[in-house]
Amino acid sequence: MVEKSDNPYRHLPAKAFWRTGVAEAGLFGLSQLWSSAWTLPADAQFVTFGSCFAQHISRALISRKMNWLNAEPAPGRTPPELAQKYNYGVFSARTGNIYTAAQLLIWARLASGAAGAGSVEYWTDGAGLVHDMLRPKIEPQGFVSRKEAEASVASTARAFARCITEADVLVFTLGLTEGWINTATGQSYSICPGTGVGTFEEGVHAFHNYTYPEILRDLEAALQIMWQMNPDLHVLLTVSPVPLVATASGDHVLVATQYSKSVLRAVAGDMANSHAQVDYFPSYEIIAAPSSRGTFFEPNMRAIAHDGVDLVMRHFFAGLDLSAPARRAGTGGDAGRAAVEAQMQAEELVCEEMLLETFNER
Amino acid sequence: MSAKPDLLILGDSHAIALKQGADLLGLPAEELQFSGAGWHDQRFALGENGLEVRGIPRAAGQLRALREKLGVADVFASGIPVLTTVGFHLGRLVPPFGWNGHQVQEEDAAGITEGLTASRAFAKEYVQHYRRRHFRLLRRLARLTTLIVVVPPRVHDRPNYDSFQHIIVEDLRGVGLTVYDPAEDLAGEDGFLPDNLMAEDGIHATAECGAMMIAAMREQGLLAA
Repeated sequence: MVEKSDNPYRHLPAKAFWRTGVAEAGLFGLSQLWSSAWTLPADAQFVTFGSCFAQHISRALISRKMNWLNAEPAPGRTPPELAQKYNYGVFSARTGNIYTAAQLLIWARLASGAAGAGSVEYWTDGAGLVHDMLRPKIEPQGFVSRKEAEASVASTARAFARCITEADVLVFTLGLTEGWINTATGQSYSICPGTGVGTFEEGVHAFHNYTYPEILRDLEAALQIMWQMNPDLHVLLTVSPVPLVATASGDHVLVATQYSKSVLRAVAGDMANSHAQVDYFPSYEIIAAPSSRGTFFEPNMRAIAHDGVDLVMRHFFAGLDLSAPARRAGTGGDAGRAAVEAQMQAEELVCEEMLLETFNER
Repeated sequence: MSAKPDLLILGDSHAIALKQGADLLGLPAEELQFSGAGWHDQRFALGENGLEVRGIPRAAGQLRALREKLGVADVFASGIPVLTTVGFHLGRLVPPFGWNGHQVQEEDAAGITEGLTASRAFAKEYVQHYRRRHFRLLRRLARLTTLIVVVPPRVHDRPNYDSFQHIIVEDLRGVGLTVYDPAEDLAGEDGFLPDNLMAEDGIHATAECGAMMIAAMREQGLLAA
């Protein structure tokens, strides 16, 4: 029998080997998939943005009563169905889905003041309603005017800025490499013009499959802007496991999906490896790796089943380190609301007193 | 049973000026008033005898007494013209909308540079959520008699009040109701009622203003002279 010499593999933990880490552990026995790179305060404030899958992270944080910052909530006493219809409470500001790093960079520039709401492309539909091409579906019908649309973009940019400056952790889910751009202005679109909002113009609107260097460049630029606004901001990157709905790349959508996810995964990994304030959480692997055997995909093999989201979030919370002391007192929001309530009560008293005055016959 | 009054006045604290105005003009008028909070909280229903008041004993008693006085079960089906301030109650509707710092960007207003904005379409749906039943009541009453909805006076320096008032007026007119806005007749160039027509609280109109409103409605043929 040949004696095994000492080598680095002899000292690795069970999780480093496929047999013990994956095959024997089984899907629900996977452990130590992720542990937070940072020790965060117990009341760490999270903000969530990105592709559709990021919505699950928002919901999970809310349901766990974590400190999820909603910097652009619906107006007070908005019925839930109305808030949902107008896309409130989906992400920490009303950005809609941010699918690409290029779009994240746009929001970072808007939030920092490097760009204004006027720099965004707007489109007026046949009914005269205005849509901003950064958030084409944010309003069910569109805005009544360009002025209102710009005011809304500016409002969301302020909320996004608040997210950056107040959050401890920005969770950003990278969704797509494929996108559409305006060749004349450079505007990046979240959906192809003409697929619901906007008018597709051949020669103006061009398909662009963002490459690894472009995504790395845009993400780096976006994060540098954010760190100028808040040097303490931690960034947790994830990659959406949800496959593409369609590809304009010319490849089969399955191949295009794997390419897209691979590029995003590589960018996220490299960003995490090169910045102490960036970490990567493996939601993509939990759902899409061979260990899950596709279990968590719905019959359309695209949508993620609730159980899959639950498993992702169990690993997320298991790896989170919130052991540092809490830092924040109350936000003062309740006090402000109480003051308005008191004002309403006072006015009610005024009104009731006026009713009493009607009995004064002198 | 007493002689029929010339007017029925229905509403919240803004209805007081109308009743007092009718008194100043010597017009016999009867009233059913309860607070804007009660209207906002929908303390009313449509029953077999028309409008019913729920959970406000004083107002319910007022309605009962009115029925007895007029000798009818449904006072609003007796053909007497109705002036009403029902449907606004902005003091209950607008402040919560602004709790998180939202403002509606109006076309003729300066661009909002702080806090959050909400679209006019959103504000309209928000209003409709909270005022749907009020509009239904008003439409029902308008089918039974002459009904004029009187707009409350504009108030200074209150974000969103104008926007909500415009939306409600637009919706009321949109469903075919007759709306009288005193700002169209009595306001200065700034769109506000002059100080001498406003009560000390800066929110409600005076009795004199109420009389001027009724006179204007009669002049315009909204009410029979």
